[in-house]
Amino acid sequence: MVKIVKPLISSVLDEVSGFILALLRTVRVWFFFVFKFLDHPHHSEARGHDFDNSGDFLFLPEIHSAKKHVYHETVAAGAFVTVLFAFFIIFLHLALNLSFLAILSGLIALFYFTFVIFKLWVVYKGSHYPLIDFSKKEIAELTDDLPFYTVFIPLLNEAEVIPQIVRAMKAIDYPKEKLEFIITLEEYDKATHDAIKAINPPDNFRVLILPNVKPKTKPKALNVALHQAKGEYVVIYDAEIIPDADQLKKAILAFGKYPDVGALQVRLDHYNADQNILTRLFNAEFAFYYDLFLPGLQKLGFPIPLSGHSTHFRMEALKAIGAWDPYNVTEDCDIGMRLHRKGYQVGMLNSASLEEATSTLDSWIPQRTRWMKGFIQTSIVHLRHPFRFKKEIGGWINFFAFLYIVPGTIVLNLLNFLSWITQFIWFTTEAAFIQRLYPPLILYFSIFSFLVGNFVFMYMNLLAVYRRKRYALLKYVLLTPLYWMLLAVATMRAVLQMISSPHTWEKTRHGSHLREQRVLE
Amino acid sequence: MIAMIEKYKPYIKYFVLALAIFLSLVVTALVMYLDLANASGDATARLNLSRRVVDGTSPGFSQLGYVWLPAPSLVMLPFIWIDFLYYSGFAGIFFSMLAYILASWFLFKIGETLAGPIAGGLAALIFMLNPNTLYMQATPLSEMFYIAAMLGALMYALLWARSLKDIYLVASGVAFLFATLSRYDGWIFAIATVCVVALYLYLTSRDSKKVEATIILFASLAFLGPVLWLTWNYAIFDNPFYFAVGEYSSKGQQESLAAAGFLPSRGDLENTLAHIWYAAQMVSGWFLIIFSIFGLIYIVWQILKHKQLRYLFVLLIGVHIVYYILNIFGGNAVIFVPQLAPYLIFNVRYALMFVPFFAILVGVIGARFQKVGIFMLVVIFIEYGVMLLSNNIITLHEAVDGFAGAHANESRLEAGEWLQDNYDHGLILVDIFNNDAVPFASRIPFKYWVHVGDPKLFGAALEAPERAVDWAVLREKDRIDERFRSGEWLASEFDCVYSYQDVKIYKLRDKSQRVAATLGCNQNSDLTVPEAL
Repeated sequence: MVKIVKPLISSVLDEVSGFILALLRTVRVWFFFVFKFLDHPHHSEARGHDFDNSGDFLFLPEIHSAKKHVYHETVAAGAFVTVLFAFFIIFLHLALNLSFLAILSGLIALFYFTFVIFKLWVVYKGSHYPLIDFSKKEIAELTDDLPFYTVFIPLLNEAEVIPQIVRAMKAIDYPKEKLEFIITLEEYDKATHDAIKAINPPDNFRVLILPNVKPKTKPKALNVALHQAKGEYVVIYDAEIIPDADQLKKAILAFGKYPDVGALQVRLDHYNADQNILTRLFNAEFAFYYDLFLPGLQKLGFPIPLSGHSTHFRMEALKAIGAWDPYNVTEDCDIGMRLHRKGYQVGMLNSASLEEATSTLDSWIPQRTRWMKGFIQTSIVHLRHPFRFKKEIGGWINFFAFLYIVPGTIVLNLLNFLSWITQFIWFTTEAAFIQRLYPPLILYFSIFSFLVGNFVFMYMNLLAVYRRKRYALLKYVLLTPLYWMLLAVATMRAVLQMISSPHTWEKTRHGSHLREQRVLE
Repeated sequence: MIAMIEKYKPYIKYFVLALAIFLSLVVTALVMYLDLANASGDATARLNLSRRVVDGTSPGFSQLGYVWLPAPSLVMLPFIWIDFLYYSGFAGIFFSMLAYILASWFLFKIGETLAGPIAGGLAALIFMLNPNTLYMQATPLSEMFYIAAMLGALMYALLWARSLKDIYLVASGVAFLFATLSRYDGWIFAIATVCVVALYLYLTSRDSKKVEATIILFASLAFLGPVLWLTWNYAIFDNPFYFAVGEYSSKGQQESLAAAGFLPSRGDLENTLAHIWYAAQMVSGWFLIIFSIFGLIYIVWQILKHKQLRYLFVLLIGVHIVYYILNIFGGNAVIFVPQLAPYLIFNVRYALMFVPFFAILVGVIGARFQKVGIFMLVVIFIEYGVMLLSNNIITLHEAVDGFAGAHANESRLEAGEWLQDNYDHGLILVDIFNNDAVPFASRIPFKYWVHVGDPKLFGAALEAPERAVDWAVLREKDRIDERFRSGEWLASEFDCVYSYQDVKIYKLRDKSQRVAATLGCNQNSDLTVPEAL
């Protein structure tokens, strides 16, 4: 009996254990398939950075680029967060006995409130934090034995501003033999090419005609130029930029003093701030962003979304992170995040670059649409592997800071619009369906968050403009809510473009101040 | 003595802070032990206002109403829902204590910024040891809260004037947010401060663009409180100026007093000045006012002769005197003093706003002439001592024996206590305005009271009380009493179960009839009837 039963039991046990193991293996496979976004390396990462790629000049592994937006990881992470959020809403619905929409409006108010607190915190830290700076004496003490510096000037249809940029570049205080300017041009941009020829720039200016490959974007131009650059340090200046003459020397001193710093961000300002209301509000926004917000982010060790020009890099750092993503329409914001992920710090340098504030709505809206679209792209790219991102970006606090800084900005702009519409409808019609969205406590919280939040945001702009001593501008800052309306429009446009034409680069037209000047003359 | 003061000069600030904390704790403990903290009718009303936000048939921020500015009520919210803190008054007293300590500190800093730590120490001591200040910091009234916010705003404005650092201007603006949302005095003080900031900056920089920008930066915070209050009035009452013209507004109240012949100061400047003088003298003492006149002369001299423009900021606190003169003369506010007809005590506590002004004037001159300063301090303290020993603390008298004090409230307190013993179930109709003492003394939660804070239910109860309430509290000439007299509707359904002085309490006769009626009412209205206790 035992002889019969024992093998039987043993074979049954083998069968069962085999089945369980197979089940576990399947579960494991499915688990990693479903939760691939947790920390599963993508096949494109195996090769590392490919600097020889002359197809589209994407040096990064594809998974770290905005070339393709929807990956398995994206869907899985999106679905996971959606399910989690749905459970959370259902839990609140059951626990608080509130309608789903009322819970949603409460969560929106909570987001708004925490965003206000976050910005206040950052600004408080920023207002106490000195930027990296050097005295005239320290700059003067620099010998001529300086490292080689490359200045990238990516241009497209900028014939009008060529004299201005060449003048500004010639004014840079740096030994000529240690400085090269690489101007990138599209093959078809004859007008700009002719304008450069006409002005006959000095020998250290080089024009680089870009290969006729897609994508036709600024970061691709920069990646092409990267191969040609001899500099140990690199900076980008757009067509209309006028940097402080000693900016490069300050950057050299800063890179020398802070070896962990991979990039330096300078303060941006506008030379046509007083042109019209739009440029004034644009200038106020920049005053806040570069004088209060970014220094605060730096002080707190949060990732910094860099600007598209006047950012100085160590060549070594640039190569270590795989240079720019040619598919990301805000490659600047993206590169700031990637530098942080690789452990490089970004320093805020007390030097200014003057640029042209877009002065008409037909150029402001496309520019801002591109920025917002780029923020969406950057969010999608970096949140493909949220847990890996959390680990690389420096823990949960930095992770949430990223959520507020990049995707949070998009959400806030959209919510602003939604809040204004809702409140307008409520005050004009007192519609019952809106009342149902806001049970008393949520209503108070929403109104408080919205009113106080908007006031705080506007007041921070006021303070920043006041600190820049742009006294004549202050009264216009009170119109900031109108500017936010425009921001909301641009953000909605960006969301739509993400679906229809995610990689389209709407070129900002420069030189309107020059045209206006000519008209006046 | 002077050598000793000089020696210990660096420690004055610690002394001020330690003494303020010590005095606040001891005096509050004493006042609460003697059950005098909530004696004033307004103290009870303040507590009720905050409590109604979290407790009532229709709780929420709309209970804050439009008459009193909301900051003192709002800060109480984390404490007010706890019965012990509410009924003891400590939910509000805590903030008065905190405000007293902060105000003493701010006053010290103002004096120190103007004329050194001795000036600060003198000013703070004169303020801190004033018996009226000490009593008021042990009550839930809003005066001390406002004084702290106002002095905070002034201190930061002064620090800005000294350094021109914008962050001080922002801090002053934030303090103004509290000041302008705690008392209407703050509004005129904010306007005056903005003007002085503009004047000061213009005189020191001659840069009109900078002045304009600075005013925008400062005023957008300093005037935020009034803007929010106007918005609130518009959102809730459809009129941004409802607080000024509404039924229960100060103006509305003065009209009632005028009708009763109780507004002798309106349009009479001499009478107005006399009221202000007596109130100031009783709150501050003779000598403090006299010495402060010397201080005022000294400061005006410093401004005119030596161009010491920072002293302009000191004159700002004096705006409160002008504010009350204009308000009383215009008939928008009233003070009764026992020396003048109608020989009552009412709102004398307004003169507490003048004490910091007098204190800083004496502090500055005392620091300049230190021997005289010591003499002045001794004389002022002797007068304070006499006030205490002769039981002549006017704000305490006002709370107990004043026009709206505990004795005047006696009938309501009695009625409330009777209800505490006899209430068994259901809703109670009351005209809360002027009858705040009844619910407070009864200790029956507000969710059982039907009052004007829930206009639908209150209107329905006035229309047909038997359908909405089980009890009705009537006080002569209040809205319920007037409704009763006009239609005699209570008599048919309610029995009069209590009557004392001017207060009557009625109880529904037939409970079954009421329950049936209420069920019908619930079908198409927002009326909610809580379960019986």
